[in-house]
Amino acid sequence: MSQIRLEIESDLSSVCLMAMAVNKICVFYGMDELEAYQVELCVSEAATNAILHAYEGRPGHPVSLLVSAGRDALVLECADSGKPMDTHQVNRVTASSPMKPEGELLREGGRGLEIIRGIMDAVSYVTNGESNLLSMVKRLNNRRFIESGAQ
Amino acid sequence: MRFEESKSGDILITKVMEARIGADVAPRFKEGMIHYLNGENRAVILDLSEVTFIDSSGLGALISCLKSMGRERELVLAGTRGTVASMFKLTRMDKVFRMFNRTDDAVAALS
Repeated sequence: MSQIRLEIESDLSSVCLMAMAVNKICVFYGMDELEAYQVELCVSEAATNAILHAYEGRPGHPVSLLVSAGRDALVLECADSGKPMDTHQVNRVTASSPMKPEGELLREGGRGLEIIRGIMDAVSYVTNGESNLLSMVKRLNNRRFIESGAQ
Repeated sequence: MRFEESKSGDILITKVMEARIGADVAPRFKEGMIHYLNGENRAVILDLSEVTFIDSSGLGALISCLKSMGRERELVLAGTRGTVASMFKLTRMDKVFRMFNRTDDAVAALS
């Protein structure tokens, strides 16, 4: 399994650097433009959530992303050491139908977790009181490249 | 946040000249847009053809802009790239905004 760890400080202007790096990793592992964009989007949402909610916008705290490429999936683990999500938020991450009713379409916030759940094949969230970990799994469909040697 | 603007009758065409609308620039995007939306234009076409990435914060800013238009005036989107358009579909924003492939198509529909 190949791995890379990316880390930024809790500064929103740095989120795009992490997200764009992941886009390139996705392309390397055979994802098409749309899939790579969607994974980039999920990383952006996860890191933004960590900065705005876990760290409540305070600068100077680490947001890390461990990207692990296995034979058939890319696993992205976003970690922070700020305030954990509450039960309501965690339920939105793990719900099988996370999208809110159509009547709520005009709300201006609160879509990040829904987007992640809508794009990723599996999402989980764990916290131990000191650190929080949002794990996102995206299956790799382009087996030709994987089977040719990328482990 | 950079914009370019042009007019077609009483329709204002505003083009976003940035590639990314993420959480870091969404407040500035909203401020910039409010400047255009507060005018007397009957409709505003937001040209997103230069935008390659938008996240939920960017979407939230767009919704805020849409609400500020009220019922008598209209905000429509044009030139959305495939990847960005997929974001609108995923979040069902394609049901909220009228979207056109090109600004010319939007002008024709609004005229």
